[in-house]
Amino acid sequence: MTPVQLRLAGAAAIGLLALAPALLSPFSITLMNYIGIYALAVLGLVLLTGIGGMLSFGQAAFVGIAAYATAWLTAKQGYSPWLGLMLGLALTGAVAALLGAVTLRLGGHFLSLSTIAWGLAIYFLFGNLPMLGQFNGISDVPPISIGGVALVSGVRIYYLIWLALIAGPGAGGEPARLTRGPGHPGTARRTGHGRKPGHRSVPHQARDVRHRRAPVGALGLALRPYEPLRQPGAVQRRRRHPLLLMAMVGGMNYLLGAVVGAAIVTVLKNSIQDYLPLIARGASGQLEIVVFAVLFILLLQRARGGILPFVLRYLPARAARRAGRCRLPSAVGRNRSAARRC
Amino acid sequence: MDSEIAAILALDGIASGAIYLLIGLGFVLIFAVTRVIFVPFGDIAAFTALTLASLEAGHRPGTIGLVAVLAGLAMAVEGASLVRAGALAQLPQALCYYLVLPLVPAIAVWFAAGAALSMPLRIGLSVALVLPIAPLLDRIVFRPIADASVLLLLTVAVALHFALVGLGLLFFGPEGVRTQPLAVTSFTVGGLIVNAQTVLIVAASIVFSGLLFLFFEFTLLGKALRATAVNRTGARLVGIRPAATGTIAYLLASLLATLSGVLIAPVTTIFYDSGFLIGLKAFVGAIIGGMASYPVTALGALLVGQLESFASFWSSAFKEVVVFGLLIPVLLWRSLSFVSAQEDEAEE
Repeated sequence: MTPVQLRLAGAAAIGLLALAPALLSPFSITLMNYIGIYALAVLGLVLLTGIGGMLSFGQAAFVGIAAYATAWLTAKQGYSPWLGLMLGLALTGAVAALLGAVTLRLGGHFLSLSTIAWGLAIYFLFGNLPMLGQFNGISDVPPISIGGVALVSGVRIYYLIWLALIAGPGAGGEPARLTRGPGHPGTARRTGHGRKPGHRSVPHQARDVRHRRAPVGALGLALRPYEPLRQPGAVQRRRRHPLLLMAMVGGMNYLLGAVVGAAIVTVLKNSIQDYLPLIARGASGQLEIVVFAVLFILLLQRARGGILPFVLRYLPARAARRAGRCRLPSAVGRNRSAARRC
Repeated sequence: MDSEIAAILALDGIASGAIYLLIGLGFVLIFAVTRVIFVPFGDIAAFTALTLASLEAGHRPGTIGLVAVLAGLAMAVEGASLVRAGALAQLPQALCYYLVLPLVPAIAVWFAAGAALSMPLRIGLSVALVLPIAPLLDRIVFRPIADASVLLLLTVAVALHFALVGLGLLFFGPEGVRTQPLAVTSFTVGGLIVNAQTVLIVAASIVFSGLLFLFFEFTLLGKALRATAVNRTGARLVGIRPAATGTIAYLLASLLATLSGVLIAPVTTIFYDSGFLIGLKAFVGAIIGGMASYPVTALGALLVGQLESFASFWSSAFKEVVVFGLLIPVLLWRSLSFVSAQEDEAEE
């Protein structure tokens, strides 16, 4: 594919996204909304891990910070949801910058371990702070509204989510290289796994941590009116957003991998929830997590790079060369011999 | 806080620190030999406690099913790789190691469950039943990707932990259990009441870390494990098989985890998912030891125990926040004092 064709394909995809509410059922739109929300969070993870070379287990904590900050300001303090959104973005960015400044000196798996640590610390903090409703969360969060129209229904929030998703990478200062490999050819290699702690790679990594704030803060916004679907009007901490799974399924090295991964996992989760009760009645909740974990392990054993590079292999040679072949070793989907061939 | 409360808290901290010590040593052992950060390690301890509790209650523990499934899977994986390699002559041996050996305690427990068993027998059966789980998981999950980066192995280990927690809920149910105390007496030392259980925990952790030290210093097998930890390629050159030493590391570490599970079960209520937090706290200790040094890991685990104990006095709600918050300054200190040489070596 030539660049023009790629751009045309992108435009067609955006056009289809814009038309989707007219074509799809309300349930599919709800599903699309979830895909968009998760894709936003996974986008942060892809920037951080696939492109920045740092594996984070604490991404969900940032989602939590943004969601809680917005919920607290609007439901508890009675401010405008837009202000809540700003606070969510600012606070997530500040915490990310702070944690980044402190932990980015770490190398390789020590950095990942630190993300488990502060992820858990933040998780327990949310569950114990009285001002955040402790284990019950915050309820009655008002929806965001534009010109007096509350964005509550599926279709209304749909455009907001997908706009944020398309604009997200751009706002983060990264041109939307949706299907391309690592954004900065040098960065991924040098920062590899943050190989030498405290070396030159740190500024690059710090920038990647700042990148997180845009997508993740936007997620806080999108999640806020959406949580009510499961917990009436509430923002609540939850331990397992399968964000890392989504990023790895889609393909860590590609921004588009975030959307692909979020879509596959969300649809899969939905169908597993439909079919598991038929196979094992009464035990489906437990089995769901087992099935996901097993699929994840199989994926990592068989296709470390995720699904997107797999698909790109079947695109015409030129696009594949542009997009896939010269993949640099990512944090998790490494293929050294392929990197050497480049 | 007066000195008496401080002493009680310190004693509590020593007891939980001793538990974390055993598990933390296991973490370091597995990581040093196989480069896997075995996150589900705490789950092994919790499963032992749950198995012991269901034996006490006269039920058949769900672990039997888990071990049988894992043994079958491991045998299938091993059989497939042997057939692919054309090494059919090794099939009987594999059958013995991966299917028969793990199933022996499972069958024994199957028939023994429900009968009135003495406590040492119950403990022995539980330990023997849970012991093969980690080596079998190693064969099924980690050996096919043994050459992968530490980060990939870590990610797989985290996923494996979620699978085990789900299976734990399936096999053991959501109820928490507490087993009968191993020792009921208590005595007074300098005005302070000390439970025999606490003494037992501390003694066990001293004895087993001592045994581990002797094993590494004075036996050929222990030295082979150390050699693999220092340099895998070098170890292979002198005739040590990394896969075999890996299995031994998992077995030894499992032994430590099962023992700590037995020790902690009478003191704390154990749920199917309790293993995660126990494991992670032990893990903080192991990270203080840089995932490499056994003595520093032991000290780190004791420090975590103390910190948790005192933090729970001031604010029990925030003790987890304090313990995991501690990890960040520790990691920073480690990153300044310790260039991750292992990582580099593993990468190249």
